[in-house]
Amino acid sequence: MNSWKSFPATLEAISEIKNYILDRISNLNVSKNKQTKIILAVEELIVNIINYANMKKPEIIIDINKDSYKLILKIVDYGEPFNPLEVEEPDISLGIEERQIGGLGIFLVKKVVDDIYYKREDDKNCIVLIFNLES
Amino acid sequence: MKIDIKETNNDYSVLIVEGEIDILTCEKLEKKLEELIDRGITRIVLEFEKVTYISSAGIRVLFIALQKILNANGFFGIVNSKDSVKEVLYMVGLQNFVKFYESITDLKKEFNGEDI
Repeated sequence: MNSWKSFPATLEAISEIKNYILDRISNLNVSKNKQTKIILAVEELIVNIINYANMKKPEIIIDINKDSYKLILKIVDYGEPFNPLEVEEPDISLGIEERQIGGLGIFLVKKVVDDIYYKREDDKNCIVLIFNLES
Repeated sequence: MKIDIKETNNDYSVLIVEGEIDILTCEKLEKKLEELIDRGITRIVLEFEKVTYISSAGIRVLFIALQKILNANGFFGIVNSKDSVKEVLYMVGLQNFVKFYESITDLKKEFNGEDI
């Protein structure tokens, strides 16, 4: 059985992607808090892909696997090479006037995942998210 | 996402928000806040008890409102936020600008006690 599923690269597909992931992890004993973090990371990365990746093929692939106590979630797109981990982090210590309002998405992703990798594979961007699960 | 205005008095307006504040729903909250602020209402409290999720799209909306509210010497509070939502808001440092209250009663106590 395939562990991956393809979705259209549109903002409207985000609800469908979230529901798919929640459904796939529903029997894995993932706490509500962890589920929220997984969904948050996925939304932020997909919004980022849709906004910034100039896609050859308007498609996003979601691949979910479980390895002992880890959930491994892969997000693949056919956009130009783009490593979200290289995006400059906002300075959240600044005052309200100096503060940049954008750029919080990737910052949040880094906060909620236990590990994250980016790699370019042929004509695809692959982001791998690792979430530790409770034993 | 559902938004209602429950209570408006001289001290503040309470906006009750329900559901998920994400990339698809945040515009509704943005418009509502904009509408209030444009009408000169700059003392706003968000009742978040039934908010189950917020992403950076929603946080952006809060920051935009916050900048306008603070520029107008207004007041911005969040009441009854679930821990999972509060955790995300704290990650981006919102607590430096917005007052968080456990309940509307706590908020009222503060307003009755001093003139903010």
